Amino acid sequence: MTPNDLVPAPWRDAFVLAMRERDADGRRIGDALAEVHQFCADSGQDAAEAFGEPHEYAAGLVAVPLDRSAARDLRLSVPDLVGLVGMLLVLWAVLAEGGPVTVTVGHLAGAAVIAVGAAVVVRLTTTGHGLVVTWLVCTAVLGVVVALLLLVTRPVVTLPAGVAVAAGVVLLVGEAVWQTLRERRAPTADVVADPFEPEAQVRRRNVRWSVATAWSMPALTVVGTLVLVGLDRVVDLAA
Amino acid sequence: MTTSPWPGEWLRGVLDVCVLAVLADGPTYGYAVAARLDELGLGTVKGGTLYPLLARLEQGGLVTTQWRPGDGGPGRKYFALTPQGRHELADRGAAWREFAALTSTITGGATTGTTTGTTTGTTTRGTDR
Repeated sequence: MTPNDLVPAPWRDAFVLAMRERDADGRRIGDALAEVHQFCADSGQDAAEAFGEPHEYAAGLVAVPLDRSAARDLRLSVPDLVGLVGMLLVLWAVLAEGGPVTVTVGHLAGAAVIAVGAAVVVRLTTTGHGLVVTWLVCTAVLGVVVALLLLVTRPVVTLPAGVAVAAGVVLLVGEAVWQTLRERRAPTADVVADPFEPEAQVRRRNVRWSVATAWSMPALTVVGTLVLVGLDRVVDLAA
Repeated sequence: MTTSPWPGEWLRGVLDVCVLAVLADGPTYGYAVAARLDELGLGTVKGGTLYPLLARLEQGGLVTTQWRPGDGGPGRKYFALTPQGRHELADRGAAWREFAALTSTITGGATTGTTTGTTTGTTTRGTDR
């Protein structure tokens, strides 16, 4: 029987999530997982038999539930807002097909609602709230954004498509570079670390994850642009 | 919590001092602690009971831990008593022995119809009329 048979992935994943909900760091989680692997290998019992339900076991190990500041979540979402505005500028310019891009109050307010909504959803999922609550919040955020885009149409600025793309790219890349520099100094990622893994290697993995996350918004923008251009081609061919 | 001949509520009160006693024989790892407790007659202690207890002992400064590489298998986390842990074992061990002697006296007295109040030095006849 392999270690993965004794500690199956669903049990492991549920345990890691339960520990995250209790704000345990990657080292603590890796340490606890290694204990589970060790005990199961020695006893021949599987994780459920030896340790019970992963949520209950995590609660026994880390008694203090998560008490993370909501202000911190929102503060972390501010750079995402800058990148989000950049992404939207690029995508609106692509949709405008070379015409001018009019940025409205609704556009900017909608971007802010998305950034705050994303922070709220992250907080809900990491504090043990159910899928129904998270889904309701997502639906509410989407509804507010659509209403803002349709109803608050007062223009803030009208930009030529080229300028909109350039501004969008500057915001996207600027935010990603700023985040990269910050994350290299003090990474916010906190990967699950085996107790035998050297600290320097764990830090490298944390930095790698953090930097990859910092560049996710530009990557998403490239994918979004390709999808829009592709759809445009398909519509042209169909016509 | 355990597969044990003893009621769970008894074990909850005594398990930590028993774990300290096992560790007093020298540093060892989780499964070896469980196996030793089983061998001593306490029953099978599950990992889900043992490791949170060991974590509490570590947080209390009663044990220290060290990961050691395994021979081909996963590494093992060894637990060792600290001087504070030895002191705690001596104190709580003595208290448990006293308590066990007291309950033995009380329950032994009950079977013969007599209970002895050791704290007051009085003896009462449980079946006096």
